[in-house]
Amino acid sequence: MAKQLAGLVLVIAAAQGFWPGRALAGNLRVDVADDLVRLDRAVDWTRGKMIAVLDDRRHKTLDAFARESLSAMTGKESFPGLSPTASLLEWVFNRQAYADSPVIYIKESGLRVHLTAHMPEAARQRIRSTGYMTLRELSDPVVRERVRELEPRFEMGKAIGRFRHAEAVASFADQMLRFVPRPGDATGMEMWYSPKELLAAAPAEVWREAGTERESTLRQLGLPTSLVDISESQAAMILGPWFELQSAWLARDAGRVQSSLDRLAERLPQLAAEGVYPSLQRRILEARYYGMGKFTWGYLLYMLGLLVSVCALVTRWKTPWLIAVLITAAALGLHGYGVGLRWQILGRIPVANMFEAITAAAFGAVALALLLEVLLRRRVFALAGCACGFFGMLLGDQVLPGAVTPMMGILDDLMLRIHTVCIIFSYGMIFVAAIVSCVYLISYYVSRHPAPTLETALIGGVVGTSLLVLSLWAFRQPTGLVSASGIVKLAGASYWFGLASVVLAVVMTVMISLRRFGTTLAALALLLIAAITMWVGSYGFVRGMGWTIMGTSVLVGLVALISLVTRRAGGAALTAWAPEMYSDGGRGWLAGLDKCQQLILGMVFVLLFVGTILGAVWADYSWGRPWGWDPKEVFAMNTWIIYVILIHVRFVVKERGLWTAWMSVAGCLMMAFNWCFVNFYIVGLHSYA
Amino acid sequence: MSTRSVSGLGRPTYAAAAAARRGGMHPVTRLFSSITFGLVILVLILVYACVFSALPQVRGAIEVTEMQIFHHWVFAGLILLFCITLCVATWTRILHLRAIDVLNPLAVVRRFNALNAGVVITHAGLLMLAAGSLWYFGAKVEGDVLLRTARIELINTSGFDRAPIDAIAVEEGGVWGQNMPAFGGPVAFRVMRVHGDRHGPVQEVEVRARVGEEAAQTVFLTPERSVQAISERLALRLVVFPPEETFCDHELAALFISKAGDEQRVAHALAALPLHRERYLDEGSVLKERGTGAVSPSKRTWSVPVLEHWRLPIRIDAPSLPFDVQVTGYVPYVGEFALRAVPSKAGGKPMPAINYTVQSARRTITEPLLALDPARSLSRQAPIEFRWAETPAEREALLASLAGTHELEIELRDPPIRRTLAVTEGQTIELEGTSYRLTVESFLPIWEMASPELAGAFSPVATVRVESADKQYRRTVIQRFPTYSQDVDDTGKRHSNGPYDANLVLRYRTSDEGWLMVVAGPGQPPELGVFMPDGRVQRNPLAPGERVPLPGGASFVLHDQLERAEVVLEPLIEPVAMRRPSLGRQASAIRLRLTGKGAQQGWSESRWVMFSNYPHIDWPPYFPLRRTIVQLPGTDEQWEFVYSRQPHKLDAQILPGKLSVEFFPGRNSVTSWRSDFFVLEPGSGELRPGAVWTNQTHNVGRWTLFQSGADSNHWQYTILGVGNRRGIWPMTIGSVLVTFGSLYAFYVKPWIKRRRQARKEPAPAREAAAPKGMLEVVEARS
Repeated sequence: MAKQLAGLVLVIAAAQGFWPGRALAGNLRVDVADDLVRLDRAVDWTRGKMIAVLDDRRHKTLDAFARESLSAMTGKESFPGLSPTASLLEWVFNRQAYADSPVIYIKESGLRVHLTAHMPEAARQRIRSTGYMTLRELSDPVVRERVRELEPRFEMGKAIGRFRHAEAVASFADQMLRFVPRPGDATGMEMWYSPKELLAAAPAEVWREAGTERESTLRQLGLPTSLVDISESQAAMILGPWFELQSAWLARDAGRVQSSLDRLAERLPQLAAEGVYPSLQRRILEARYYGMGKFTWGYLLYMLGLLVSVCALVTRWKTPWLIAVLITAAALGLHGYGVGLRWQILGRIPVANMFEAITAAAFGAVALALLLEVLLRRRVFALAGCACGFFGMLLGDQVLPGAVTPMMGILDDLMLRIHTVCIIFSYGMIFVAAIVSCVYLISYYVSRHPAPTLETALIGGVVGTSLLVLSLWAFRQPTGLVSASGIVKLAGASYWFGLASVVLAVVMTVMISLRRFGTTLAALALLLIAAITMWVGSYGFVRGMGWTIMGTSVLVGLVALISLVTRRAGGAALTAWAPEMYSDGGRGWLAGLDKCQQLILGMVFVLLFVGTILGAVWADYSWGRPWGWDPKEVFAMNTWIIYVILIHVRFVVKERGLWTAWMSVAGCLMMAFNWCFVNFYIVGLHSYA
Repeated sequence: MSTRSVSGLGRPTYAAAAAARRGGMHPVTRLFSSITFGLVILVLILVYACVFSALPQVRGAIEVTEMQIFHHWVFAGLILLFCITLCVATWTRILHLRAIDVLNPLAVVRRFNALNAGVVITHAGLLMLAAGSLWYFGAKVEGDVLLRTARIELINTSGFDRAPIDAIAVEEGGVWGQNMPAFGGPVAFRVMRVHGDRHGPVQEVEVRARVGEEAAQTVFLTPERSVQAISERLALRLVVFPPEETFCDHELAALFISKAGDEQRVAHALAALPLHRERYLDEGSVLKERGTGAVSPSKRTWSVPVLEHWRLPIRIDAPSLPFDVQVTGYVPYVGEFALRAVPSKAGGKPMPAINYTVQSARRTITEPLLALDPARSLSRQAPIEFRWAETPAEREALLASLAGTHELEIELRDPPIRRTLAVTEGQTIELEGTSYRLTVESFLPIWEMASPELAGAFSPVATVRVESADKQYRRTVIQRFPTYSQDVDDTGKRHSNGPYDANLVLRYRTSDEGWLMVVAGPGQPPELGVFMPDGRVQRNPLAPGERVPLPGGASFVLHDQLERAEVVLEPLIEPVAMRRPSLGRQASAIRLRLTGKGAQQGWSESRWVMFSNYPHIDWPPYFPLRRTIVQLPGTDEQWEFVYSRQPHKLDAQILPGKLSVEFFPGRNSVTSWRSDFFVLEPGSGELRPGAVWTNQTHNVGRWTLFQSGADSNHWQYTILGVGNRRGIWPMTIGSVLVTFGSLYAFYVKPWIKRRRQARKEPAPAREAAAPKGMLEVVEARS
């Protein structure tokens, strides 16, 4: 066991070398003046931030517009130390002061390489490492030419699109700020005006005061020279406070800023026709939703619940169980409030994009898990629910763009919504079932085969670490542009790794197979996974897989080690603090877990099938084709087939619970592949998601 | 299932008895009733679906679409095996297998009961779903039809082709207006009334129009009188498109062959045509990539019979044609077509040609030049020329250095004077001993030749004013075609039939921006003359494939030189990184090999044909019909080839109506589309309106129409998807059965079992076993 312990420590130590360094990318460093911070704090933004803006196909609050625009430009919702609205106004009124501040974020490293090849060393290093470019660098003709060269490349489409959006916000934020409704528009469909466009309807005295000629100035700015549906007095009603706001802002006069903002907030709704300006209630909800970070920080609460649930599961004590249930309920309440708020803002169930689908799915799954936990008191449901909520909200917080967006017309259909709800709810339940199955698997191998489990964990750790090592060797940044990620595999890297894997597998098979077949099988499986990862994976995928295998192996290894240690310390101690896991060899414990996973998997089986069929029903009356073998459809079918296999394999195997657990995990992986990879990497009908 | 063979009571267990019974089965029946075998089939189906759906590279390698790979006989075979297993297993294990009396294993006791109903219903549902799917996909036909909205065009009647200036939809209240000073001022027109539209096809349109300061006028347009003038140079034209009787298949391509100008085209389906990869038989040339010029060799041209449906060549069965047609090549994504000189098969007079590439840091030019073709001997992309010199003296003259950037050669006949000078703009030259005074007025680098025999050709020219004792005129001296130099005398008369002053001959040469001239001749190796801006010439011998460096870091490569050549179009393949996905065949091209029969025996030609979206619609720039026309040698007969999609008959005629859209706030994005149209029933002749919109289809006979695509300007055309929907009801019923069967098996069956168990247990035992939680109830009673 000492060797095994040493091996585990070595794996953990080796991993430290590959821990990703503190990411500089995404660290927005802008020197914000103290007087600006004071101004921001002195202004009461309550009314001002709820001014409605027409942007990206919907009416949103100024606060939401600020967050989304700044996010597109800088990767963050505001400048450091400032509120989002203040950051936006500072950019709109005082952009030139930041001409040399690196505020424009370029996400893709390959794009950074290509756009900076001609730049001086210091600028090149800064942009490549942090991703931030200045406005002046953005205006560089060489940079613009390079972007134009890349635009026809399909693979660069997303990267260039993000860059163009950032560029548009950086250069034209004032023109994108369309908050002046058209008085004559009763439908609410017409584009609103920006203050700049409103100049075309500005009274003559405005031009006289500015000392500039109207027609030529408007033509020079590329603006219309007349507006037919807004009078001079109406324009003056808005332009007056707007110019006041501008001068007050630059003078850092909080009082005048406040009064001009309030006047705008009061007058703008009066301009719009009846029913066009978004209701105050809706704007308040939206401001609250964005102000609370879309509630995705609730993953912290779920994480706490998860830790307490683990304790409750292992010890079977009542107090941790009660606390876990209460924390889960609180987290679920917060989660549900966020989902509900978004529902109210959108006016429809929030299931139309990836963020909404994952957060809604997690909500449904956690609710079901909590209900089962309260009814059946198995502990494992609370654990699984918290895990599901944790991952769902974490994804929503860290990875997925959560901006509120309108839904495309083709998706605005009752049957489609029912289909989507059924499918995502089933996916949430699949995840919950998989967590229960993971608990089963860990319990099974740790309680019955702790030493082989530890050995397998060591092998997994080695394999995962190898992937991380190889990712450093096998991938390079090319001199020319090859891809958006900017990193390509060395020619032959897959071949050599595959060959090394085969050799290693043969050696390990000879060494281990004399002892344990199961460990050999696990080792071969891990090597196969690693070989395929190196063969098909990009740099990010290889590293992600390496971390996943290594992290899982470390976790499992630690649990196995604890089990071994406590066994050697004495069976009585074990039974005392984890009675059900270790009495009768854990059979009762495992049987209980098996029943728990069956309970959920039965629901998954039916709901997944129903959801898939409803999708076909919708497709049939939407475009006369219920099934087109789209990758999304096929992998939904594949997921269901796994559960069909799961049900029937119980008839022919001895270790039913074990097989069910493994199949449940396989089904979860298939679901994750379908939901994430197929959505984003395989072009098909469902690519809208 | 327990593996014990004897129960605690000393009797054989159910499993042992069941095994004993199955031991009496036929081996095949035993195999198909095996759950393990069924699981193996399911795993194979799973692997098949995963591999072919997740890896488009695999589908691409065997040239199948998603529909085709899941319609393949291998997949169908797996489904069939699964269905057979399901039937046999259900029959032997549930329906047919009677319950085993463990005391008497061979006794017959009914096994099927309410407990198994869920499983039976589920299995029956799956079988029905499979049968319905087989019917659905076996008969599936999909495609689309283009409906073009009637329009009113404003046309310029003084233009030779009456090209439309702009157009609007035929819609009451539709208005167009623009300031057009060249046509007399502001021009506007409004559609006042429309007879037809939503209530029927367009029959008459009343339009009120105004041009400049003239009074407004009303014109009436009908399909018969479609053009009405509104001013001297402007007219309105009503364009009404014919009804559609066919739609085009999404996947099945076809080749249409007809005599040029013949409306009726015969369609030859190309079911075996590849789809994803470049595949072309070797005919002595290799295709290249656009931009990089990298060679793009063909992927394998042999296919695996039975497993793969594509093949090359594809022979077209058309015995009535005077030639055989084979498809010998396919390119999925053409970047552009480029000209290439190839040895001429038609014989005839010599036509020397070269294929070359000039490459610089900024661009690459690859093209042919034909020495004796005025339009094709000088490149339109750069000052590069190919000349044919019959004699060495002619070569020397062509490659002689210039006196300067602009050189003027003056030859006077009487008195005989010959002078070659470097000249500049504005320079005056007086010929001593004569009254001639020449003033160089201007230089033009590009002058389009107007003579019919020089159509398409151009040349640098110099304009020289000539003054002599008796004549004063302006002469345009044309560098490349000196005999076509023109004189204009002081009265303004242009002397086209010869020089006004035959005594004076002027020749002009320039190398203002540099000039490259390739010179070759009979029996003489080709040579490259690099004319520097100062007039000096660097001469370089040329060998095919050898790179010649040029000033400024550029290079010149002569690929080949031909004595009798013709120019053909060849596709340049779009680099993979630049391709848009999911275009299907829209950017593809096929190569045809035509081999003469009968009177055309011995003739053979290869031509590329670009894909056209609709074989019967020629509507540039939206849906141009890309014909390839071949003239049979020695005849006036021209044949037309169109590569497009297989048409299918709709069950009625569809007359276009109107496309309308709904926008998101701001009117920048469309949220939904609606297409209104009319259906003319073939039997009754009844005209009825129809409409499709987002999430709403419309049936026309056996076809379902749905909104598939639309004009980006939201009015000019709509594309309706067309498909059939056989087998829907069996699939629906099967799905319902699976759902209810599953619910029954998971939730009703355990409840029934618990009730039966509870009835068997005595009351005190029930009370004593009082469980704590719901799961304990389940555990206690199951």
